[in-house]
Amino acid sequence: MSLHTDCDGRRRRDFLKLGMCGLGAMSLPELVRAQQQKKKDTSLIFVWLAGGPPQMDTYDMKPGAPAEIRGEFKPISTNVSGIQVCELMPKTATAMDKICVLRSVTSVDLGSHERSSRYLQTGVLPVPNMDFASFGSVFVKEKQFKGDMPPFVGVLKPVERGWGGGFLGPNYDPFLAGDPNEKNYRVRDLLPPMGVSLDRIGRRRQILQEFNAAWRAVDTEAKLNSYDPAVEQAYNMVFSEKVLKAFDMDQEPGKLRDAYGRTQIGQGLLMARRLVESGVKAVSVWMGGWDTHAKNFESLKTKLLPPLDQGFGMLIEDLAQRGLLDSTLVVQIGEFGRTPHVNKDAGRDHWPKAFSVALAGGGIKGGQLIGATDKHAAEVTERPITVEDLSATVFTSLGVDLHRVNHTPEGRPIAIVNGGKPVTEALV
Amino acid sequence: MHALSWQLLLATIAAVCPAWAQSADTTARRWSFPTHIAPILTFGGCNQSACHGSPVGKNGFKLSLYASDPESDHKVLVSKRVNLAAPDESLLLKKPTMQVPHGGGPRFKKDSQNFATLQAWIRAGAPYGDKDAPALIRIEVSPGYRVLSAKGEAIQLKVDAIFSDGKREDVTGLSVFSSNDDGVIKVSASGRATAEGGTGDAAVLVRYAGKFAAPVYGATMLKRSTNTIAPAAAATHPIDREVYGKLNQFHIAPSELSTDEEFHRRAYLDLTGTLPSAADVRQFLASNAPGKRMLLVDQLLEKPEYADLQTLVWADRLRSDVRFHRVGGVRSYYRWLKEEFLVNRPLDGFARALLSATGPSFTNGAANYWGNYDKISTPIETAIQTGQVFLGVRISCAQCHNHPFEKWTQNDFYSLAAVFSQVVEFGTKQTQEFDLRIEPTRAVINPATKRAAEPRYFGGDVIDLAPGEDRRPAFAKWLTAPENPFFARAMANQIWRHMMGRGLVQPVDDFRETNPPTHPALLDLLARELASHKFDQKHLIRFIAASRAYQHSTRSNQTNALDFKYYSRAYPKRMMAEVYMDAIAQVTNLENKFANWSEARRAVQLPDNRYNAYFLDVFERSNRLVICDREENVTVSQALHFVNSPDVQAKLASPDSRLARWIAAGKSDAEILDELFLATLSRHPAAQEKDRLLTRISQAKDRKELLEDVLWAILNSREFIFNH
Repeated sequence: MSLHTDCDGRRRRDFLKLGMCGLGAMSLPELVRAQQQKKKDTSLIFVWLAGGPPQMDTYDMKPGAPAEIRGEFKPISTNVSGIQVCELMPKTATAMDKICVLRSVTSVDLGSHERSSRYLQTGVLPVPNMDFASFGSVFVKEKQFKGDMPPFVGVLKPVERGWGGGFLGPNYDPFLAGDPNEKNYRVRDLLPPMGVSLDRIGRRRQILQEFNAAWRAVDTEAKLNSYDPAVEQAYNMVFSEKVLKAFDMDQEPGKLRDAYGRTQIGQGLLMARRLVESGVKAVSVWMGGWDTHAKNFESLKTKLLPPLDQGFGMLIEDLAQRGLLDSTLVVQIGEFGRTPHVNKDAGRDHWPKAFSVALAGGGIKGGQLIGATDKHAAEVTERPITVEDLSATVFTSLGVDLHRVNHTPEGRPIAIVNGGKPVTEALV
Repeated sequence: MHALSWQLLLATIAAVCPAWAQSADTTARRWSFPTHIAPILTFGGCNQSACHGSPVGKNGFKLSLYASDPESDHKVLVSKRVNLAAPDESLLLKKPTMQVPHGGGPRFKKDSQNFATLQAWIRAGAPYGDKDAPALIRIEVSPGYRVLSAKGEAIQLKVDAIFSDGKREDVTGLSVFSSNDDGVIKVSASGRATAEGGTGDAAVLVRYAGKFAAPVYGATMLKRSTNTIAPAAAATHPIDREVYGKLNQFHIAPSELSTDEEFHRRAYLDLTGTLPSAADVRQFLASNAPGKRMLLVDQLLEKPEYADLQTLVWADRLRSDVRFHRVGGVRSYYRWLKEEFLVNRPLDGFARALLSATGPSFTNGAANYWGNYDKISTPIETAIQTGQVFLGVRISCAQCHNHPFEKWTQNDFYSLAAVFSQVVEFGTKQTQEFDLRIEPTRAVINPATKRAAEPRYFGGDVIDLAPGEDRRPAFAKWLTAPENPFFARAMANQIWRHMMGRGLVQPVDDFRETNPPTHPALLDLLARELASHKFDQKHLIRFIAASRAYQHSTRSNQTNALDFKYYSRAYPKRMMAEVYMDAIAQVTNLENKFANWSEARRAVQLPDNRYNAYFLDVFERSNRLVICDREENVTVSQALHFVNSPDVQAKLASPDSRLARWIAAGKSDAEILDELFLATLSRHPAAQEKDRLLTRISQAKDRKELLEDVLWAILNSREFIFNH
């Protein structure tokens, strides 16, 4: 079969690859290899704080700075001597020994949330006429995970572009799981609608297969045949107890749900833990509201930090307790930081020059701070980390070859990392 | 290096490359950096985008991409990588041979001709060369087009460099080769092109010293037969002569013609974005009118649904977006577009109206071409958009560097942007509406020259008007002149793509020398047909619809199952999300309602491209953030949506649906099946499938539920979702 480099060809290549990875039984050597792979495979939980969290009100406090810079909050100690965080992050403070904070991340001013979001969610500077792929998408494409659970899931609502498969196509978009904090939470389209039993779903599938089989005899267009893998996956999910249970928040004890916090981000992070436990390899959790141009301190105090802190701290603790922390890379990140000077609306504006990113789990050496900023948290003074370096670090932890090149539908080669170097001090 | 081995080297060079040996004393030859050394760097991969040709270079050493700027490269090399006092210590020699660590690995062997040339050049003082030396004009590749006829058959390509003094030089050994379809033709580093087992044409991209060529070669694994020759000989329609002529070269036999059922449904979907009703199908099948297919086409072109569908297609291309143009803007844009297609405005007038539009944007729909987010788009944005929509050229790469495989330079890019630099905002921001005026002296700075870019007709002369004049109408007039090399072809290609499922140039906005049309003569023919008939889109649609190529069945035969480019069979096209949503509504007779958009009774008519409708998202309505063809991916989310969506189920089970009415009216199982098939698949059920389904119905505990399940299956089936 010829391999066309246009859109048609790309899909057929994918078809060949997907078609060959069947869902049937594996031989014993394959099983053993698969188990070994499991031990080595790290999962990703990518916690995206849309809007850009303020570094000096979270991980990079500057208590010695003048009032109009240091803001309203004071630092508190953590369980790592010498490391302090904002007083509104007490739960995170108890997990500090597992967290590594990169304080010297430095990006470029791209002029908009949209462009910066695309940059930080993909690790690649955005261009006008195409979308690059998010870290999770690149990761699951590289590893080609198979199983009943979708390999990449998104929890809560994605914000701006950059969160999906981009030019890799929508098959590498995260499966959207919605808001687990909702009353009567259900994942869209995972359960049959009212009045339709699973038996009927099965019967419908049979009738459909008869129609499509008759049609295949008429037309061998590969484009049509490519329906099968995604459709197979969908039915596997519908008929799988395991999948339905994984997305069922009622399976979690109420006390644990309370411990994470009955908030969107709290329940979202709990869902992330559930998903990773059930075999999902990448989870993106989106939290909005961080673009505090006005009332920065009020928002942080009442809406943003308490729910995040509770959920995030609990996530680390929960992962550790279940023995999942070593095999799960957790990243807490936004598209940029915020201005050292508080503005006239008691807010902070965009600040890409210097900001913090928190890492935990997955081969990360916790309990340390890497890099530093000046006394106003304005400029990086030590160990600058570019977005590309960050990208290299994430992919190294996930076991993705940094030299990987993916191709657009027109055959244009796109490197996943453009010259970044992993921050080895952060890695075990 | 010792004298003896030096002579051996010369002898080796002389033996391998006679042209070089002509000047046996290499120190005295007339060196030319651009033609002798730069190609070696390209050949060795030094200046590719992954290495030193990247925008930031590599390891502090930056070359221009594929040697597009030899003067700058020479300066960089001499200052950083060449040691004139001790030539053999030059990093240019030591790095690519791994005598010192090199991130790029080994690129040349020490005993290779290329290494020897580099060495000799450095020893000669690393000159740039005589600025009066004859310049390289172009390269020519031979042999010409031919079709290889067995797997493994190969031809050796020869590349000649043509200089300004008329001299030719064989530069095959330093040219870089690649194929755009390795499955058909694979080309080795030495220029040997081999048939790999696929059937079709492949363009071989050949690069040397900043020049390139893209000769096309073909291969076929099929044998000559009467099945291929006969149709070609009998073809009367000009399109078929071209299509069948090409198929003949590959010995691909075309499929038979589509059945009346297939043609009928296809024409409805292609021209109106709607399905025929059961009554329409019965009438068409029963008719014996001569030329009934073309009569049908004429009828469909006159329906208002034709204008609705064209509005959607163009709104995608123009990226009408409720975030950028606001509710008022997309409303007026759609109103304007629909009117244009209702009156069948010639495409040249259509383009001129958009390109010369004045605001305000909520009143004059065409003005929305010029703005986004309540302000005027930058000249750069407008240049990129105009390039893709009307010129068929993706020039955005040229914003930052000269296009690697195309003649468009950064200067061309900024000269196009300069055409639009006069357009500025006018009016207040309060209402979200924008208006525009001309600021005659406003310019665009070309970052390469740091001066104002001269506005030019794309690839042509400077636009020279009276001071203060709006350049846009002059540009639009140039663009839409019948002899303009871009417009007619770009428009014809888009119309062809809509009808046939694939552009002759694909992607449709990516005309490039290195992305040649599959049928160059056919493309020219279509462009001429359009231009010579007042750019009447309906005329070209009729012209295409009348051909056998359009009317082929999608059913493949033994020779053409793997043809995806040469129109030996019709290519199935998945319904657009909006069309699919409307088709379900049409079949169940349950109209969709769109809150706040009373002008839209069907999804195709909905100006709000971000209207909250999960169905449309999941079936990939265009996001209009980039201009590109809608993809036809199948995703888990789509499959799940159809399996479990409550909305779909509601339509199926509704007591007001057509199915419910048939049941309530007491129709028999057979009657219902017949009506169902006619309404959805636009055909009667075949005997076998009818029997199978009748058996199921008779055995079902709940007849109504089973019929709903059959309808569900049909709506989800390939035969329904695809336009075939």
